[in-house]
Amino acid sequence: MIGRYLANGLGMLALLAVLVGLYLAFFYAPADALQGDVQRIMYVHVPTAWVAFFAFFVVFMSSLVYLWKRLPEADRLAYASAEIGVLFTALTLIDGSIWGKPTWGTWWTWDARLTTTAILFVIYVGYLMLRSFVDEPDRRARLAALVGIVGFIDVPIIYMSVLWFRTLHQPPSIQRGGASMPETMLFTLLFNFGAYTLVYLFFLVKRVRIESLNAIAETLVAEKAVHE
Amino acid sequence: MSNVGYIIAAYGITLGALALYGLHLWSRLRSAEREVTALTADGRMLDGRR
Repeated sequence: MIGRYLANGLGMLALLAVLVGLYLAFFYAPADALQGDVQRIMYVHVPTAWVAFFAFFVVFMSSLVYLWKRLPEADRLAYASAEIGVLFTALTLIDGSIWGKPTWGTWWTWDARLTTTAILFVIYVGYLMLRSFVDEPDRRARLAALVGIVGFIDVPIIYMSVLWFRTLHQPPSIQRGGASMPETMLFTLLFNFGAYTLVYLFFLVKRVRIESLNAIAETLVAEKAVHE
Repeated sequence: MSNVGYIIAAYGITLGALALYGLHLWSRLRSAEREVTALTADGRMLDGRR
């Protein structure tokens, strides 16, 4: 397990990166020619979406490892990442909605990208609920792993939805073959990708540590119950 | 700066939620550490149960 000082160092680095990312978003990147300053929401909206997808990819991989090797550590990693992924998906939906109002004239529309993202949120809230409903640890981990794997199918659908369907949502900002923005905007966006990924990693380390301690506590309680 | 209210709302909600979640994690971690310490030190759980 990663040391406490290393974890706290990661937290400080993440905080610093977010602050620099804010500076870049407001003082370095230019205002968009069409949307004006409100387009600066992109520098928080797109990175939070990226982190949500990455978090669910970690759930997907950890769940596969759990089903293959039955490692409790893989289950704990999946659980921790799912919780953080749900938080970032909720933030993606909220700040996307706030960006949608001044640009599209509506807070919400049943557009393919928005709808599939809302479905992703529901799937992983369901994943967390499932974990709280099942008491038996092995069964809980097995069922959660199945949901974690099947639920991930929605992520590539979300990514491709703006290409497959006629949607209000704009196409991906960065695609194979280049980005549809000036270099200053691209640099700011990529920097914020890194900053919010660091925040995710910091949360993940702490969240996994909580699960590990809970597992130790459960074992100690069970051992004492046997001895008494 | 135009549409400043939307920009403040988006950044405020996102950064505020992340800060709150960070505090929540810190509190849960402290609580879990205390529970394990109590269990290993004298055999008592945090609420005094044996």
